[in-house]
Amino acid sequence: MRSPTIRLGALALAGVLGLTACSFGSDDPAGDGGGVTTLRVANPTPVVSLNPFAANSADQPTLTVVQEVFETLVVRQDGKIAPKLAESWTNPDPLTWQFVLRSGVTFADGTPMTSADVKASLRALIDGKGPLAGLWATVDDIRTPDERTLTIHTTSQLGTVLSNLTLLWIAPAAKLGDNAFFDAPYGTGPFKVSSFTAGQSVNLVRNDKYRGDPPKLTSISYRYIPEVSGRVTALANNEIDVTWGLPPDQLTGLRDNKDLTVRSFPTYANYYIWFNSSRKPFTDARVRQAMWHAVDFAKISKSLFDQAGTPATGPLPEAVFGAAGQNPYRYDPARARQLLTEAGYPDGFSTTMMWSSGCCTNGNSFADAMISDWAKVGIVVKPQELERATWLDKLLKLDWDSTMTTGSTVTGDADFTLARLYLSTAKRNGYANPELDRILLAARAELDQDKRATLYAQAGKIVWDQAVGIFPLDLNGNVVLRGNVEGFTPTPNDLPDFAGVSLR
Amino acid sequence: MLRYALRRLAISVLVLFGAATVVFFAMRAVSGDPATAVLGPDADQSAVEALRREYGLDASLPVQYVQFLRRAVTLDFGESFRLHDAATNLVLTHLSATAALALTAFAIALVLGFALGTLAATRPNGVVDRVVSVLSMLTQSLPTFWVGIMLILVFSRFLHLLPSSGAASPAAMVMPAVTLALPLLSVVLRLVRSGLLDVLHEDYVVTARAKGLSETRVVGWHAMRNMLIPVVTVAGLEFGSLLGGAVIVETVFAWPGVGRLMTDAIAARDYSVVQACVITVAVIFIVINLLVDLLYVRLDPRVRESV
Repeated sequence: MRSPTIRLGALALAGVLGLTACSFGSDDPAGDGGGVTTLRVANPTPVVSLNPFAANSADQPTLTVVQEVFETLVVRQDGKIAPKLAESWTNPDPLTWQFVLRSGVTFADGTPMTSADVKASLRALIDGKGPLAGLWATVDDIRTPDERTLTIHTTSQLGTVLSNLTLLWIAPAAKLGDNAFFDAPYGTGPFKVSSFTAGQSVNLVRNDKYRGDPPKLTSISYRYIPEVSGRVTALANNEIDVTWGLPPDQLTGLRDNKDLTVRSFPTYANYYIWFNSSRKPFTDARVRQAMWHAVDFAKISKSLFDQAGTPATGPLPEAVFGAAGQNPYRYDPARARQLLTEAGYPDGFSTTMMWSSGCCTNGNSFADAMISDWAKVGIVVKPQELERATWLDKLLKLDWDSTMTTGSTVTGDADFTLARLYLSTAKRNGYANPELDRILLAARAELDQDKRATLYAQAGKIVWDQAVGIFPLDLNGNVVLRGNVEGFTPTPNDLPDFAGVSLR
Repeated sequence: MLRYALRRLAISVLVLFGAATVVFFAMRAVSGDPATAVLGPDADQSAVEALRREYGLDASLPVQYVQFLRRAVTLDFGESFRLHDAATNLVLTHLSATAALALTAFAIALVLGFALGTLAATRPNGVVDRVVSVLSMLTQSLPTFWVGIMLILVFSRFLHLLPSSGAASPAAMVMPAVTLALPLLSVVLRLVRSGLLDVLHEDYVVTARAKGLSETRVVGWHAMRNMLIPVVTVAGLEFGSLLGGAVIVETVFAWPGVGRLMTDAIAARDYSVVQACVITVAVIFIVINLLVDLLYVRLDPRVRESV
């Protein structure tokens, strides 16, 4: 009586397996056989748009992909501005920037790149009203005297033009108004987009019209794997060649894997804890300073961050233009108590700290560690882990006591972070200081880059000494590659660039 | 029969309307502005307002609600703020991946559930029965995400048999489908086992055996038909929870389905996509319930008589 049932079961099993095999079409973009010149990339965050002119213009996943497709007039190399699509530039007067474009550059469709394309791209970025549009607020006129000359005129002096241009991608003017173009965009860069599924995957193929040395890769396929464990397994399993943005505890294990290479490098990103300076008790600088002195950051970062970060020396990561070392705050609970007493809180106080879940490397453990140190000086901090949209809502309404977050100076220029966040008109953390405003605006208007750097050092000192926030850590980026990936060079903007990569 | 079907249909429309209303107001009751969530903290205020206007978020809530219902009737849920595509398109493209996953899991659960349940019932308290019941306890009580990660560890990381994530090849379907199937499998298995055990002692089974019918025919035809009713009901209802489980499984295995679409959309306050997802899932639920009811009528002559 058993054999028929077993036969039934076997039949059923076969049926299921058959169904499994049929129900999903094969479509393997990487391909295991043949010449392996496709780099398989797993990004930690989804690419939701390939349009770098609008809402996603400062979005890391978007920029990671578009940097292979589009180029900019200038680039930042080893901290210095270098020419790319622009050959040279001058200031005929302090309000005017004139650029001479490189000749013989064509887009992937063969049409030549001209000043009209640059003008249209800058217009698109300004009219797109995304997060980078504000960098160009003082531009009142863009002219194209001839095909290779472009002038940008501003209503007041703008010393950040070159930094800003490192994020102005040049796209064909004729295509910029066409939304469908951004489903498979192309520019003057080494690759062009062959397919894109928003939130899931992007495939790039070599741009045969590229004027420079052709890339060694024929294609790059990016796909989004949300789970850290999923990415690590896919990497160890040779299903992908590269990923990045892994938490420090995962890296320790991967460093021992001889098939993989882990690259850690300084970035433009840092950790910070802001106090709402418009809300008691944080209206008093002594309270904010006490919060800093009360936490043993050296010990915490050693145990939590390993090689994921380096102790910060100022409010800007060291790799950023305009960053300057400031006087360190030492761990000193007695000093913290004394400051609290001077400010009228001898017994401490109760407050809250919010952050958005997933905002920060080891964020929850970091918050716990700080909260327990604060408790030792009588400050009871209630943790509030919020969903990002909720956190953002409260943040912008200044409806919070303190908040923990990480941020990146995307342009690599101090103005992007200091002027965006600490001008009193920004209303981002309740701190208002006319002296700081004056310095920041002067730095923005200064065309001499050395003088700008000096001004940012002064601004940084105010932000640091006044403890507008605590700046514990500059973050290191990490990229993990399989051993056969060669020629990868990390950049501090933490946008892994694979144009120069080859596969062995 | 017709009246019965019509009444069921009318109730379904009401349920759908209720689901649409709840998702509409629930999304808006949660704090967090979609335009800000999309544009980020550094967007120009005028850009935020422009986006709100573009998507009709500046209108009063009742106006938005009426607008939403009017368009929903024509299957137009508006455009995704985040992915810049029609929400209906997004849901349909992602639904095929989820459907493939859920149907495969469903098939695995049913076939294995019936096979193992029957095996266990024909030899109660035998070795097979004991092993099967322990396994079914385990598979039902282990959390899906854990099972998924363990399968990845074993079959991808150590054995290198199956891809760890994605939907690039048929092999990539195996682990997510099995993970999703396990809880349902143990439910079906236990229903089949206990149902069979109950009916195997009924008089008509004894009669069938006495007639000299083969054991296969007794179990597979006479007994099986009578324990089908509860199994069909439960399996039908559980198909809905498969869709719920898909949300977790899709995240663990990076499966590009509607569950992941929905969780990402909720986080981004992408109203149109959340609404389209919820209503689609509600429709699926309702259709399955209708089918279960009709099948029930087909299977159980007593119900057939009463309607």
